[in-house]
Amino acid sequence: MKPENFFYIVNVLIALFCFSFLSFAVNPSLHHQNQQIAWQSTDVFIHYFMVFAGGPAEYMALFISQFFYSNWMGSLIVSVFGFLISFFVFKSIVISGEKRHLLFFIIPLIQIILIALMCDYKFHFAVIFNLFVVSAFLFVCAAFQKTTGLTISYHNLIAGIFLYYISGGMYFLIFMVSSMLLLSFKSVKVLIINSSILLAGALLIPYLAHRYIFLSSLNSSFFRSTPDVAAMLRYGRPTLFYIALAIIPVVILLADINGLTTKFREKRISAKIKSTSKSRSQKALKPKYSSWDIAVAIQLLLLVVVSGYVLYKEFKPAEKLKCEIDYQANRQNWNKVLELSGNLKTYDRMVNFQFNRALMNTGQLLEKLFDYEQLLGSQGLFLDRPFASEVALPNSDFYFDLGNIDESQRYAFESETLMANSPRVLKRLILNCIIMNNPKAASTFLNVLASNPIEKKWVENYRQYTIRPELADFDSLIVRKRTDMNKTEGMIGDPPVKLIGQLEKNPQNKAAFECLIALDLLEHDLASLTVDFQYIEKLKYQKLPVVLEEAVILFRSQSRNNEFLNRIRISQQTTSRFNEFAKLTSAAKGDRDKAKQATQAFKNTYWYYVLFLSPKVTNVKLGTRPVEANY
Amino acid sequence: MNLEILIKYLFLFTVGLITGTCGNDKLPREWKQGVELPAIFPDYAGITIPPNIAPLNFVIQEPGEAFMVRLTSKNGNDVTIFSRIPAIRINGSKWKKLLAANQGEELNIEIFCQNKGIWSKFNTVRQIIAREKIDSFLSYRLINSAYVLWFEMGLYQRNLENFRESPIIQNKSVNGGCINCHSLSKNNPEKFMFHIRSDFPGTVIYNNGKLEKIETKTDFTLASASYGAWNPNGRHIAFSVNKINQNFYVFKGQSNEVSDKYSDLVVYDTQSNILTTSPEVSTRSRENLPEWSADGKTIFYISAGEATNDSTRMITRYSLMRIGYDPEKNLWGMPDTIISAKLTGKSITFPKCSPDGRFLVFCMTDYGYFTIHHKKSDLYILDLKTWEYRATNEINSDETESYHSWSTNGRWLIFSSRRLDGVHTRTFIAHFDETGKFGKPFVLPQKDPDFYNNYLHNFNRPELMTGKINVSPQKIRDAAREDAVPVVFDPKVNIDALSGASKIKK
Repeated sequence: MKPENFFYIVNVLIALFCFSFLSFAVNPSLHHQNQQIAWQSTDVFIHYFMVFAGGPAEYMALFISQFFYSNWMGSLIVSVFGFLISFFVFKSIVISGEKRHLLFFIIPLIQIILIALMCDYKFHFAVIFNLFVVSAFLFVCAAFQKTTGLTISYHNLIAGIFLYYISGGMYFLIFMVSSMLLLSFKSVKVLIINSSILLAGALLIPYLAHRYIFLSSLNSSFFRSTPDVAAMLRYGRPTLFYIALAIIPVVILLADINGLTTKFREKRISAKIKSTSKSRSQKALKPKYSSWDIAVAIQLLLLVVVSGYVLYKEFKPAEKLKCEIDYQANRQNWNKVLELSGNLKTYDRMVNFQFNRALMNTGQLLEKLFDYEQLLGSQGLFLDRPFASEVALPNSDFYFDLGNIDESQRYAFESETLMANSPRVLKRLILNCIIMNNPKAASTFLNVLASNPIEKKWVENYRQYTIRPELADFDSLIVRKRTDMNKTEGMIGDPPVKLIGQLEKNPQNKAAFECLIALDLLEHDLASLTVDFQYIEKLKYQKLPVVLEEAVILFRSQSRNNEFLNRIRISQQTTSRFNEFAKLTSAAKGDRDKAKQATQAFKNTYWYYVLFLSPKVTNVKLGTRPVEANY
Repeated sequence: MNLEILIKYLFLFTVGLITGTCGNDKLPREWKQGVELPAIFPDYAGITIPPNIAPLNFVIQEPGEAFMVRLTSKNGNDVTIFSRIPAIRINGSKWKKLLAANQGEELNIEIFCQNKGIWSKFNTVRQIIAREKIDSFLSYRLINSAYVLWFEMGLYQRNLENFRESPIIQNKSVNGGCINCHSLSKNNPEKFMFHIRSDFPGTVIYNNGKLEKIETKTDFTLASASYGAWNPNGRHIAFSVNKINQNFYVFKGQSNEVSDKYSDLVVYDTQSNILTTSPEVSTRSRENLPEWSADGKTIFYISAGEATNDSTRMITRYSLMRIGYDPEKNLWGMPDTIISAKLTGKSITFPKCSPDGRFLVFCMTDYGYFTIHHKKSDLYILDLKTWEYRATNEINSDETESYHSWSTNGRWLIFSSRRLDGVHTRTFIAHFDETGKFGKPFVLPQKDPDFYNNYLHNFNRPELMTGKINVSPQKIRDAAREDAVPVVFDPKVNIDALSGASKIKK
């Protein structure tokens, strides 16, 4: 079999593996959810991307990656692009005419690195698309050079200018460096001229673009490599990312080195041929040529080992799980959220928050609140403080669930600033506007969302409420939210004030009541609990929720003459459990660690929380940063 | 499915391109005459327009499979447009000729719609083409609707005679810092300034070809300069220095209240780099939002009592004040209350003096000064000759009216309003006649007539300009990224630290 055909087979097999790995392990629909990928057909949207270097590629990347909403489509797209990059790099090397075949099987490693990058859910598809553009440009230039026989690389320089605009500074540099490495070694003079042209272009084009055309900083003009996104969506750029950026020129460089050594070896061989008899020399040199087979085997082995290692290092199941929890929460699959939250081994505030939210939405907040370690106390329930970009949208969702539409809208606007085109944000704004009887504003947001091809059905469904607002009166969700919405005027403060405001308007808002009580419990606030407990009367609880029972019995043990607490009946089961817990803690004789160890079976009780997990006893503090630091 | 949509769009685009732009421009032979005005967006019926305004493109919100529009006026140069789509885009050069030939005349817009092959004509939409031009450029900040967070924003300038918009500076150029409060001297694009917060903080001033960046926070002022106003002499800039807070409402039909704990006034001399103040405007009361009189010798400003707690900080009412100031001699007069909040029961904000010095337009709302979030905020006009003021009901709406700017000839007022959808701030233009009355306002025209129905940015702080700011955005970016030069606090000012909110270092 020809080496070239063998390369294609390996490349296709790797692409198939990538597709499988992406669809079964990574799941690009989580990228779609996490990054709020959105493309729009409006003039404003396209104009935004056409006015900076790198914008056109980002626009195209967004267009393509919007199909990540489907796992298999996303997997297919990424694996196809990975394959094409490998293919174009391979063809560029082949066309450039040097003897570089020995490294053919290293090239598919590009695909592996790209899917390894996809293991990070903040990784932008734009990077892959830009590498694709670079490889395609390299291929076209190499083919052009071969067809025309041009010796001076003006075409690379012109292509570089286009590429600079399409993909931005970093990809332009990759292209220029790769072009230099692909230059022919046949003539030193031509090599020097071409290198000088490309080097001068590599330095001058970004500088001139910065100076006279675009508004970016000099640094960004040379090295922009990822899209500008809001702080919470910003990609961390691990070492592998820089390896991915370097991979095309590195592969070509290795091929160059190989080409040079091959030439050198061939020279040596021909020298030997001259000095020995023809038959003897041929016989003697034969084994050296068959080393190709060994090299291929080594490369394939290397490919498998490196691929396995890279994917093992980069794939982080816990990060995927967090994204899945957020994904399920956004789809209101609350039981799935509860199930997945239990699979996470370490504490995470956002998972804690989504867990609590799932409990709230399934009416179990006061039954199962401590099934998840509430290590941050009320800060795992309410995200209001400290306020940062990453909590804007979850907070909007949470207040929407609660029926506090004004707060939901406030945080939705904050989110809109960070992710202006996000369908999730736009939907939130639209629904809130309809609930708040502002069909005109809803219509503006609907028009924007309508320009997203994937959201047509949703838009059609809600458009009718802006044309005939009275139809919204028959939508059960809207009616429910309007009932829960508070209309009392006043300056809002902390979450309890907001919750009480809602309960005053609709005493049957069970979610608001449970959040209020949970808040009191998480804050160990008996005084507020005593006051807030009154709202239970209007809610039809068959029996007192377990968490509340646990709290009451605990507080009662601490203040025996509290009339309010003594009035509440506690089930026999909870009383027995509490006695057992008390016995175990007493047996530890003040040894906190021992008590904690002994009461592991009570880990999901309020008592355990108060004694061992609450931030009031652990002094755990949430790392904060000033709001400005988000930018 | 998505491919289908794409193909559909491409098809519609092609059909629209062919039929919409290359159609027959002759009027239908016969039609049914209607008596009602057609529904069009934006609402351009009954307005007075500047003779140099860009084409007022619009969407016909009436059913039809084809549309015909004829623009006529007394002195000819009629324009006829045939379109298969309801979005009507008027040819720029034809529009220009029509307006130029008919200044002071009525402009008639006849609209025909074809339904099932039958043409019907609506009642004619009428406009007046004014004789007075509007300043040819407009600057504004484009921002999203958030309160605390920001991501991308920028200052832009728009040619009002066509649709060209270009950036003055974008915050991407300064690592995403906040760019705000731009101001010009007498609408002169050769003299403008803006602030940058967060990264690369400071105030960038462009003054007759020279770009510089200053740091206005001194040991003697409580904060960096905020809301600014250039003296008509082009040399001095009055600022307020504010300690700003934000609070959020849930239930008041507005979301947010921006208020000050402290605020004072200062004046900056661009030539000497000296920042000065007076004990009369650096008191425990909150002096804010300065504005110069037309002769540059009086500062109008607003003032509210001391903020003793959160409630008085937020729920406070500002009075309209003035104080004499001679910039040449650096001499201050005594403050004088023009309209007292005690009498109005309302709060005054953003005073803006007409170029002839006769009128002062301001906003009035229930309380506070940051009116963009106040649905009840309306515009008022004060006659500085008679000292009488009135609500300008002819341009107010049920939604927010806020920041405004006069044209150089005093015949046009540009102002911010949220009347289109109650959420997004758009720029409106209103004619101001000799009798002191405003004409019906109209929204800043855009190339795409449906623009405002799809646009989520807010046009913040619109300021008219007599021409384009000719310094390149690259040069402004470079100046903005430089270190700021600290201003010098006037050594002659001897304010006792206890006299006001300012903490004066002795």
